[in-house]
Amino acid sequence: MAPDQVVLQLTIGTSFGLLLFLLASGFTLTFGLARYVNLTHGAVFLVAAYVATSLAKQGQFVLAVLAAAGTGLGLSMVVYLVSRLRWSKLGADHLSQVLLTFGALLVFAELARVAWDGLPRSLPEPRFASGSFVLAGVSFPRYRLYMGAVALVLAAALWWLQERTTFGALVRAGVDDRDMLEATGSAAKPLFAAVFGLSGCLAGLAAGLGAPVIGASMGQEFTVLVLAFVVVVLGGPGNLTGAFVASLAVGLADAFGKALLPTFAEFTMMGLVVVVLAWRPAGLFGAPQT
Amino acid sequence: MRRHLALLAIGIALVAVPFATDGFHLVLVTRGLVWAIFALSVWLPLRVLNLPSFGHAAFFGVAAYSAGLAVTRWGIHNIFVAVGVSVAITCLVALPIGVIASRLNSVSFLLITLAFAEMLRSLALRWRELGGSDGLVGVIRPRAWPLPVNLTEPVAYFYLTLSVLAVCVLVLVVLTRSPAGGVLVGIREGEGRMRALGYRVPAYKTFAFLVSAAIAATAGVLQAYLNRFVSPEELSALVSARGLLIVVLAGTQLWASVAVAVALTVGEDQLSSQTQHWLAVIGLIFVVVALLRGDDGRRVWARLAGGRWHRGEAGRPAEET
Repeated sequence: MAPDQVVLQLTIGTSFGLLLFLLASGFTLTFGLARYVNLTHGAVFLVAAYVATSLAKQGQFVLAVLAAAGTGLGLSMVVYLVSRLRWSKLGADHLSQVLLTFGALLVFAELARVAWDGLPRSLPEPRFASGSFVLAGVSFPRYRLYMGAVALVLAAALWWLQERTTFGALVRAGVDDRDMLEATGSAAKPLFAAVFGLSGCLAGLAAGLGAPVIGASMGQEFTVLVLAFVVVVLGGPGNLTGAFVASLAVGLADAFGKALLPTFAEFTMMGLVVVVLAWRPAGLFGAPQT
Repeated sequence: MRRHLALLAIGIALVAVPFATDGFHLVLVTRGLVWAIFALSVWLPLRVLNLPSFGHAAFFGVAAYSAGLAVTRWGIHNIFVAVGVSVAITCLVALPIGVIASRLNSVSFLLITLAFAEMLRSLALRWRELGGSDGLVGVIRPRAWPLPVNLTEPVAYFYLTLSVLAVCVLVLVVLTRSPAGGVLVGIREGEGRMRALGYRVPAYKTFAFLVSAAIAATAGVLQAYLNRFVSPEELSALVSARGLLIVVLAGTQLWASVAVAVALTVGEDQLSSQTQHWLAVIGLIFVVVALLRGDDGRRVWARLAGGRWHRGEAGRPAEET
């Protein structure tokens, strides 16, 4: 692999990794706070990506991304409200959560298939970030850099929300000890609803921002979900810092896997999972298992 | 007593199926039995170790592809050899996954098993030698030497599937009643204590995982020769989810999963002939089952079945065979 290729794949991998962080952080937040495994996350991404591509006219890029975020928020709240019907059981039992959210994933994916005829679609790159530029002899795709930068800004905003606001303090308290949080007089339910909404919103943003690169197509609900899972487990479930480091690693593994072994790209990912989990079964930043 | 009667009734009903139905429904019931075998493989980690696997489609699919390649490429024309080869290949694939997954907690276990299955699926979709998204075609049913039967006849294939199911049930019953099965239950109830007692917990878990993968592989081989076709869909999350659904609906009883699997398969066939959006209906079924399922529901099942009901936490059911 030539050096300029390496630099290019590093760029692509990093920007895709940052996008993955947006998707995985919602999943890991919901899991960390509510102990809820939300498989619907993949279908939320899919529907949001389709919504973004249906606003494909040039100049409406920002609108498309915002629409995707709104779609994500709405769909995630649907899952939350359905789970609310029997929270006493669903709140504590991962198997029930998985069955429910997998069912919702199938329903959302089928709705998307009906609404958009099951055809793959894409969103054109916005005019202010299309094409590529040459720097030090390497040609960089402009949109990839833009996407990575926006995702990085959003990740910083998420960090600020988590570490510097009252809302974030409540969420962190809930992750550590939910009973103690409720004992101090803060209800956990509105917090759960907010985190579900936030996680859907982040998935929608990831779908909208990613639409010019990966587009929207059936089957995506699983391909992105799997990448998010790998990020979450490698980083340590519920841990945002871990998710950030792991998403960069997964993004790079994905980019180099696709560049080096086009057919067997998955092997690099599987190798990464096996090596990291053999070394640290609880994930990079996860608490050691008891 | 009533449990044994129910078991006997299901057994007699299954043996009698070929005399009571036409060819089309016989194939449908055979498919239901294949799903029952697959459900047994999901039952083992879930009920004995309390580890929900969302990735058994990986073993089902790898074995189906191996079985397809055995007759189309490798020139294997005996079903028992094909089963042996496919199970061996599947166990080779399952070993690294099992070694890694057996060290994880139940949620990470679920996520990682699903991730591995999906990665294998996208691999199969792009691997041209495996037919890509078209799958493997031209899979013919091999001979059953030394048995004097012709497997291309639906009745013979039905009885073969039924016998394999019986063998798998027997393996699980023997395993759960063996000392090793006791150790597995001990791990479920108190992993730290078993470790303190000196048991090699990850080794036991990996062993159970491999047995379970081998059973899923057997189901995959039978599926490949039943359909005479292997598609990447055998590796999809829907396969794993269906296995989990059957086990959850069946409660703790092994034999109930056979009845549920056959009923679900027939129902799904009816559904897919009624509407082209049957996936959405299946999705709604998952949602409803998740909302209604619970200790109460299981208690009703257990009483209907006449089985003993042990107190158990959610998702940590009683020890049953």
